[in-house]
Amino acid sequence: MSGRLRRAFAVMATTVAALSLLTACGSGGGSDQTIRFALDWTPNTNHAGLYVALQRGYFADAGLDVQVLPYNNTSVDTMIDAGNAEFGISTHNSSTFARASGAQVKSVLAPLQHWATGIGVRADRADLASPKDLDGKTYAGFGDPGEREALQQVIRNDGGRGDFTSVVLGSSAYEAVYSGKADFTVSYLAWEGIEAEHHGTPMRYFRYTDFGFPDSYAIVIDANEGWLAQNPDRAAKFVQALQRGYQFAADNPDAAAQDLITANPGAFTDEKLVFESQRMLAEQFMKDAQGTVGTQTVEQWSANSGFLYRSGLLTGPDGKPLTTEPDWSTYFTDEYLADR
Amino acid sequence: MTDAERDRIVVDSLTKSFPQPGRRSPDLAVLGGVSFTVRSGEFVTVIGPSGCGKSTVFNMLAGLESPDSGSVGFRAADGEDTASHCAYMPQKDLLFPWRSVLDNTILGLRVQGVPKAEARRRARALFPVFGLSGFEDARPSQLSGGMRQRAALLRTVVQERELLLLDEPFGALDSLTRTEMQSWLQEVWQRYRWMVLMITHDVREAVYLSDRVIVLSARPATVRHELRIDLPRPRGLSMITAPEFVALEEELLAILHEESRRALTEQR
Amino acid sequence: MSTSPTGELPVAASSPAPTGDDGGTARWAGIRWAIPSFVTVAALVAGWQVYVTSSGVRPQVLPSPLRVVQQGWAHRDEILSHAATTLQVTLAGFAVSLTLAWVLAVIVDFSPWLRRALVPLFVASQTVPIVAIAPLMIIWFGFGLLPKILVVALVTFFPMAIGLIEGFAAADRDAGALLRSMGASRWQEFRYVRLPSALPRFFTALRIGITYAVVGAVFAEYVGASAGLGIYMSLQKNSFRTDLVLAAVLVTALLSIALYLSTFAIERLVAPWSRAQNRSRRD
Repeated sequence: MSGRLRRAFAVMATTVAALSLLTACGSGGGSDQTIRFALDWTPNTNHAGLYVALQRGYFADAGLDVQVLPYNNTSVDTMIDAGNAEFGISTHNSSTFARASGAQVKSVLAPLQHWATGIGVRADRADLASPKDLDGKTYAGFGDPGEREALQQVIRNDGGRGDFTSVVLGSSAYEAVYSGKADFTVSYLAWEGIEAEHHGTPMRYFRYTDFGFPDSYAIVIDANEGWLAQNPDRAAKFVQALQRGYQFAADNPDAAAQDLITANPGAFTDEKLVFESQRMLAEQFMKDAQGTVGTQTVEQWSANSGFLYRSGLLTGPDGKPLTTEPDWSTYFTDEYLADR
Repeated sequence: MTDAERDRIVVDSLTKSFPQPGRRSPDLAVLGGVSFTVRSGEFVTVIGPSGCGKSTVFNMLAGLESPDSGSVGFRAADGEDTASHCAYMPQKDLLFPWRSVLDNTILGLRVQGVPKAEARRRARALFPVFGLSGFEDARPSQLSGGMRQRAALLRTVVQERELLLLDEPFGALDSLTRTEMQSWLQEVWQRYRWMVLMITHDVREAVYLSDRVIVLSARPATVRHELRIDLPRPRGLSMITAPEFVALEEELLAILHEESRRALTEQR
Repeated sequence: MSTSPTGELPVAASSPAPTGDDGGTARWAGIRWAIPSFVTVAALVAGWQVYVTSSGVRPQVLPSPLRVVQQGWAHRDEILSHAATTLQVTLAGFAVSLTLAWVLAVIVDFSPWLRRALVPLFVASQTVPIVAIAPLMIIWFGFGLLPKILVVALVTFFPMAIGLIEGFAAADRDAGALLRSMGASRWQEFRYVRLPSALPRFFTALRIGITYAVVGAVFAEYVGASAGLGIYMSLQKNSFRTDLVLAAVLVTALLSIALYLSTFAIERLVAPWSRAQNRSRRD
């Protein structure tokens, strides 16, 4: 074998070895017993149930060691799929996109039963009275898959064209709207909504469901499907402990807010916000018709995820757009929830 | 016209000391009162042991340094500043690689404010004389050592200043090229009769080219000896072995060696 | 040897120094020179493909090179349009830092006091963590082109400024003395000696700066923009399209390499002697 060829093979072999090492390190890290939970944002009231469970020892009672991974910019579903976390907080949309493209994620609990977000505009913008007025304006967004299309649909449902400029700003999106640099964004009603009031820049909101857009689960708890299959007992224990936490938060919002604050010292400069937010969630978003927290239905999954599919946004594992509508019942499960 | 009146350049009692590194070290006295004169059309060479300040005297004539005491000046204009009347050719040819050979030679003219086209015309006219025909648009890196020195000399000469200061112009050349260049310079000087002040370490070169040789002593330097070279011109290379030539050479070498020995013993 | 009556030396007596490659073989020499790097890259890519195919790792985690190229090609219109935006930002920001570097370097060369005052600030500019500054720029300057241009300018300013300042200072002192002996003013000395002397060093610094520029633009976009490779990468990451993220990364790398190579072309135009000098020295 010539010198050059030999060198080429050496490089190849090294690459293969290096890659194996890297991706092996990625998956299946962490000790056998620790359950890693990934956050979608810096701690806020969407996470209340988690912190209630931690503070009140629900996980410990179930014999589980739970580690909360700090927020970083990586998508939670990617982390779960790659095996860097067993569970995490995601959104209905994100979970749909992830699973459609082949990720091994499954939604096991829905802490909030409805859209908790709405289109937000500054309250003093008299020219923006309803979604159709947003045509030609600037949207400060987050780069989430499907966010543009949902907004376009809402605007069209209201009689507009769905024509607006979009700037991806991530966490700076709210500042942009408060300072007038952008015209609208999407806010969590129970968090940024209240925060804006406290700030002195009150906002007005258009709720998707008011404009004929299907409801969805604002946040969902996703899990690694493979891990679920291999650890059915611990999965059930974890989900039920978490559900207990969220149920407590829904029934005792002030205590839950306190738990959240205590678990994250220094994270909340405006503690009133935490209390008001948790109360709003408890009153309006967390409980289903029976007063239970965490359940999911195939109807609601189909409505919102179906919209994503019909908009041609979902691509499969091969990178091509999906041609058949998935069976949405495989995207979530209630089997780990406590029997009522 | 008397001898004194024919003097154009007057160097009078130049002294210069340079500070030494280290707080306790006293200043190094390099020039200890150097005086000499140069006339129009005269070729004068300055020789002396290493470090005796020859280049320092040149720098003063060129206006780059000033003496601690003493003066350099033009007699006719009552001690007028020499700097604007000198064209300086340093030891290194300093031809800029970013300019063509022609554009290098017009540097002095451009600094004086001569328009580019006019400067190029003047320089170009001298290219054949300096053996550089055809190399106007070449880059300095394409020239041999001898050609580069000739280009540097052209740059010096084209400025049409009264006094040419040549600081060891052939020092960097191999001996064969150096001999060629000495012969060539002799002929070209014969044609133009510039007033030249040259520094060299080559005694043979000094005798061959000059009308007068000034020998500086070791530090602090003074004029140790002045020697008229009355050999007839034009001087061919064959003259080098002539007895009169050798005698002059020997005289200079003797003085030079004495001064060199003294310089060595004085050095700390 | 004889000389003609006018004192001319026959031209043939002096031979010019060798000038380097003859034109014809130079092109092939360039290709031959690049072969080891082609081989290495090809081997790396092949190794990557082999690993993905054999280990069955999912494309969301590590797509195969084939997949990256296929999908990148399928989305080339979108990617190229984002790339055009990024290129625009890169060039605009680079132009700003280039201008600023020249102006400040010339000022510093003429004033020792300003040199002592400003050079520490230049060094500090390089140490500002872009991760922190980029979002702040968005808050201060909005999310149009300006903050991104500023980020690129900030990231690329220092190497060029320092390259120029040191280039000016490294000019041959004897050359400066020669100019002064000719009666040159300080400005003339700068124009005839210091500035041309600095050009080879400047181009080295230019090359360093330009490799930071594209990455700086992408990062600035990542933080807040409506178009550009940075945003494209962010969107694709959120949609689990790792293959498209890598395709965009590939385009970023190609862009950087293209800009890097273009500096050689510019150098040959502006300062042809610096390369020739190096070549003839090797002979």
